[in-house]
Amino acid sequence: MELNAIIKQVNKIFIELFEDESIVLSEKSDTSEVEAWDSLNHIQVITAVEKYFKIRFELNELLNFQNIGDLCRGVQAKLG
Amino acid sequence: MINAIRNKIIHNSFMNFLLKLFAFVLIVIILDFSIGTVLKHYYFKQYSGYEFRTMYAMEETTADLLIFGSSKANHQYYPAIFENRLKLTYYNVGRDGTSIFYSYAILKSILKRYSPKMIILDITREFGKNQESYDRLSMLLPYYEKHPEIRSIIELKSKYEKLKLLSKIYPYNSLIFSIIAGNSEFNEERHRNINGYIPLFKELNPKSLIHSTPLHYDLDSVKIKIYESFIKDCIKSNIKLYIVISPDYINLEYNDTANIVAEKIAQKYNVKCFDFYRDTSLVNHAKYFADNSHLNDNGAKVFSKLVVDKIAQDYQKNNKSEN
Amino acid sequence: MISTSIVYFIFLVCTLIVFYLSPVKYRNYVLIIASLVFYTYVKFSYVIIILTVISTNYVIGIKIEDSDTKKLKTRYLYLSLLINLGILIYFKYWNSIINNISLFSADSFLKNNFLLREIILPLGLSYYIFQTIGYILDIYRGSRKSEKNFSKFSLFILFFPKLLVGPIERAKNLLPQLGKYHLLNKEDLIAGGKLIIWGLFKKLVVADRISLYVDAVYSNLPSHNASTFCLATLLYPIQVYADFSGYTDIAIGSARLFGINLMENFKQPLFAKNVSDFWRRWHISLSSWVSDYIYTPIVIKRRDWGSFGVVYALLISFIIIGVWHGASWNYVIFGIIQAAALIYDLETKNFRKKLSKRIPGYIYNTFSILLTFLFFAFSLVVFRTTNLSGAVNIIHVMLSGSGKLFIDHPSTMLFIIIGSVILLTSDFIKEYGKTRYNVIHVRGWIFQALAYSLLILYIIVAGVFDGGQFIYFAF
Repeated sequence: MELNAIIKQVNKIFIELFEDESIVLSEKSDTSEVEAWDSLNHIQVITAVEKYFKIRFELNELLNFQNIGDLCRGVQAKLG
Repeated sequence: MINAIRNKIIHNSFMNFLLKLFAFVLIVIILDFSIGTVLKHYYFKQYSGYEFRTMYAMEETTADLLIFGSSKANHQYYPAIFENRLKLTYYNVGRDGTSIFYSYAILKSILKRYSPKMIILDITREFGKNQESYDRLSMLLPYYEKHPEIRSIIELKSKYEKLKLLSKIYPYNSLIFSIIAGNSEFNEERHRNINGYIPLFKELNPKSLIHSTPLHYDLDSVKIKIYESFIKDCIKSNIKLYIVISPDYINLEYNDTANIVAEKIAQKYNVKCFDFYRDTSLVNHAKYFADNSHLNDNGAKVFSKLVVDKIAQDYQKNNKSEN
Repeated sequence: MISTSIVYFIFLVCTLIVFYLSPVKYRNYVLIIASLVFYTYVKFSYVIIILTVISTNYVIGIKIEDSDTKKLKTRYLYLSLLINLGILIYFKYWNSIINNISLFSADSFLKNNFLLREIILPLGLSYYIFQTIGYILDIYRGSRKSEKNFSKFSLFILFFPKLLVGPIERAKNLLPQLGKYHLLNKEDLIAGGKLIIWGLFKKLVVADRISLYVDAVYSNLPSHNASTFCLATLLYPIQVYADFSGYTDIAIGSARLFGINLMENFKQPLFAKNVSDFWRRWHISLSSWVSDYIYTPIVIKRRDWGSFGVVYALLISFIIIGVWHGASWNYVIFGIIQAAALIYDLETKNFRKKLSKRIPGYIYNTFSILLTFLFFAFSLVVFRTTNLSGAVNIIHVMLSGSGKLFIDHPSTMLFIIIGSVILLTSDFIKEYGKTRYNVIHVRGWIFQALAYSLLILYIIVAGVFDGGQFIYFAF
């Protein structure tokens, strides 16, 4: 699957999850900005993405994602 | 060439920084000196309270009979009883929270001015090893400058005391509110005293006492040494010295280690030591005590009579033998 | 060598002189030697332990990176954890564990044979063990390469300003800085000096003064009443904050003098708006360490458990934070209380957001800050009460009703008020200040010089110089 398509889909997931139509994600959008102790949202995003694409990430992969671009590339790799 | 210019700029900027640093240090020194001088001025202008009485003891009193010691000395020796019986002028130089270090420092500064006829030193439970006694030497810091004779005692506080005393403000650490109070209307209220003696008026409620089992504690050899110096200096100046051990409310079944040592050393120098630690007319009589270790004004009167009786006996005996 | 002592400053100045007179390529060695001297002065046997930790982890770090298979990497990871945690548990928790297990057995077999009388916790152990574990985990996860330069790695662990009281550094922040030294940067000297002076103020003027009062109350709890206890409870967090952040500032300032930037450890925590916010501002190096190496992995691993996974992760993380402080039950309870508050935060997030929209900002924020402060203050009671009889005393006191407030010396109270006001005002400005309020920076060096010289003199006038030990040394 193409990277841009993935990013668009992830964007849709964000909008649905946070009930916020105005969210626009780009490759550089920062997911590592998630604050300490406040990661419930972060986890919900990950599980939603995993569910939609029917994939499962490893711990190490998730820890090394710095931004949306990394996340989407990870998805791309999983999809083969 | 460019390198030379660049080096010069770095050099200048660094010189610049050094100059500013030097100016900063200078500002600190000047401010320290001026604020310190102001503090010193107002400290010595006080006319009541702990600091005033310390100053009076060191620099002004000329009484014939002086009472030395900690709070036990300060609150338990009733002036009129001693004055009337012994016909000597009385001043009490005891002070709360002090140790033999403090007493010895006061003695040294007094001996520089005159020799009193008689000294009573309350040495009850004095020699325990205790960091507080060293910390509290800070009471003497304001006198470091003018009293070279006590500097070695003040330096017992820590190795770096001399360094810290470079600051003119340091001797007045934590005292600023005390100094303000001592120079204002708060003054009159602070510890009304009779020739240094401060009466306590509370009565002990025995039920409120928390009974703790007495411990054997380590003795501080430095304190014992200073105690010996105290005795020796009195002997050298021909002062009639009496060592007194005053009672606590709770009757311990054995005598306190420090008291035993104090007595032994007094005997070594042929100095009379009167031990009232287990005196039955005072021990366990709650009405005479303000708290577990201090007699109140009523108790002080009873106790002082006991002490003065013993002293008068000895003093007259010696006077007779001299005549 | 306590960092508020004269010995420490003499040592610091000597090291600085040698450091700046040395060519840049030797400066790591200067710092290593200085750090060894520093730690030896504290106690020689501690040096043996830290050198053991350094050498073993240096080797293991390289081995993990060079391993081909995940299985091998994991084996090395476990080896390193065994050594690091083994040392930590032995020195810190052994006796406590034996005592606790013995509660379940009728006889004293365990106590008689396994209790060791003389285990003294090496100062700084908890800090540098955690730092080392973080380094190893970074390599294991692949987010960092191992450090091949042994002297650089040694200095990373040994660096004396952070050795006894943290911050718990990260390889990402500290390792790159070791070796890249400026010739001589006056900004570093000034910034470092200012931080040290401010740290001394916090420790000597604020923390040690409050502790005179709080210690007097706590050492004789049965004879005090509820209102005195409340005052002591409200003052104690200010004391702990001033104490710990004071020492941290001296550490960060000292490092800065050498041109090294250690991580921020406190960010105006008393102005936190909720407990989650609080733990992003308090002892940041520890709490972010736990968040990165314990909380986040657990939360990710248990993501299928939904919000219960987060609850589970919070409990474990904060129990670890609690127990990091010491080997007794009150620290565990302290951790659980913090976790409970964070769980509350989590569950009520939406509710609180809606509430904040209906109440004017000033009121909502002020209340949030006050409530968070009160929560922390009362949770610290558990922290300070290290045994059961203490706890009983406290319950007794709280039921005793109010009476006359115990003041001890009036001047102590005055000093406490002045010191706290200065501290809290400064934090307030840092928290909310826009540049134009940042007076100290704007007016030029004379103003700054005057301000800091008055601060130094105020430390001499109002600091507590006799006694007063750092609470966080015992970790």
